[in-house]
Amino acid sequence: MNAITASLWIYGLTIVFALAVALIIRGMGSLVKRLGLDRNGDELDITIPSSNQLKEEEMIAVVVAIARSKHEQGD
Amino acid sequence: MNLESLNQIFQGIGTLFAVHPQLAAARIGLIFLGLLLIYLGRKGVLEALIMIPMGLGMATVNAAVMFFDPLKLHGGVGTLFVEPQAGATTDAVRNAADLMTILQIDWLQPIYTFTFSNGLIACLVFLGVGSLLDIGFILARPFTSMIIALFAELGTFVTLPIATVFGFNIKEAAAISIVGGADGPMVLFTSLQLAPHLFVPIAVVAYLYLGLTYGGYPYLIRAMIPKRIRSIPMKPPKNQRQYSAFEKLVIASVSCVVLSFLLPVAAPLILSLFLGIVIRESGIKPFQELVSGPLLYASTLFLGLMLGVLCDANTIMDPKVLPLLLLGSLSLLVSGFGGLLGGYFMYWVSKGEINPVVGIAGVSCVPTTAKVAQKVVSKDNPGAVIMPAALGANVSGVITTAIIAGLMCTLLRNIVTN
Repeated sequence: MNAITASLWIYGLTIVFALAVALIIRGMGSLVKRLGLDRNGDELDITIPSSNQLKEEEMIAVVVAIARSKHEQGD
Repeated sequence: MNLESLNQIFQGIGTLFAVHPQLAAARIGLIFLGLLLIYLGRKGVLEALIMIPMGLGMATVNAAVMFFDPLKLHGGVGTLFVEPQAGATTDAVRNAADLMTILQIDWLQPIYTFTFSNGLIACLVFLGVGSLLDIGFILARPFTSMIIALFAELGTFVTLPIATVFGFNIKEAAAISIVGGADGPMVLFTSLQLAPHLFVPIAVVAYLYLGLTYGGYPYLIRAMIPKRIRSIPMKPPKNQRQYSAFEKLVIASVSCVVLSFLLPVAAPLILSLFLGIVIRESGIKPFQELVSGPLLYASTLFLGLMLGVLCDANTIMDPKVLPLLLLGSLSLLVSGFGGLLGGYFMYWVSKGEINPVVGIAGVSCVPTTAKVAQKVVSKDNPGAVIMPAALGANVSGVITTAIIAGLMCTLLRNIVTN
């Protein structure tokens, strides 16, 4: 393939593809609005606890247990 | 103790006398160039994130040469850093043995072999870049941004035929010309696909020049656009819609799938970029912090360091490197020129509402060129804000370069060249 022809071909195809992508982006923008996909207020719920959370929960459990045993001794 | 014994003890200096004087001079020159890159990176003239590790790597690799050449590729001298030619022969058995030997000797060889030569580092950088991109900027003006980006790809298409005049075959010419797309990861990816033997010099030239765009493009903008037009403030587009994070996530996911359908060859890069965008918009904070922080910065650090250690005198003195230096700078210059022409075109179409300086951001090099555009405009009119439009052109520049990389790899990869 001649270099100039190849260059022009690739440029031409790039223009077509890029404008198609722009059209898709514009179209998707209108579509998501029409479908009412707006979930602006939604917060993602990550239910898997982190190792820090587990440690904190363990520490809280220990503190609660100590407090309970002191309370029972006091009784 | 004779001179030969001293050369053996101080091998870094001794090897200077054991090789061709031109090579020795190049080593010394590269040591000083490496130190200069650190200085210019620190001063903010060049991109510090790449240039500081690259400069130190370049200076050190050219100092630490010794009488050691386990694969007998460099006339008895070498380093303990990396050997990009290991496993590059036509003999598969020898390749495996050579690679195994070098992986056990050169400390950066595992990073080169497992992240550079397969394009993984490019994808990791793109993943990080994606997590910093807000597609809301391109959603505001999709066609304007894309048209500017298409103009800003001019350098790639002008340089491709010119490179063949310099004696490069069409695949090599394509790999060199995509430097005009100003996207480091894309340059790495395309050169690995089309001209793996030129991967090292092309990658080095590309990143050197991408660092220089920060310093050079403001002069091009001032030369092409008069102050009166440069200081035009930009209003947000009429009837501009606001998109929620969820809507952006949907649009990015669909765009990723569509682009991968169109360009399967560039799918690893496309997925990496859009995965970054989707992570950003999905609200998964731990992922976002990982990819936009540790992953991006670790990849950039090793990218810079690896490019530096690949700049040894043997590679740089390759006769094919000088034309690469010329073609790389031509490609970026013409792309900058094209981008500003695109800016002028949109200025004319919008009847003066779009500041043509935005055009330079179409060259891509996220987010450097957008920052350059805003900086130049702010100097002439501190109240003028063009950053949102510039970032839209920036993101479009990434998309158009991904399209070109995909097209080049698809159309040219199977062409038989001599």
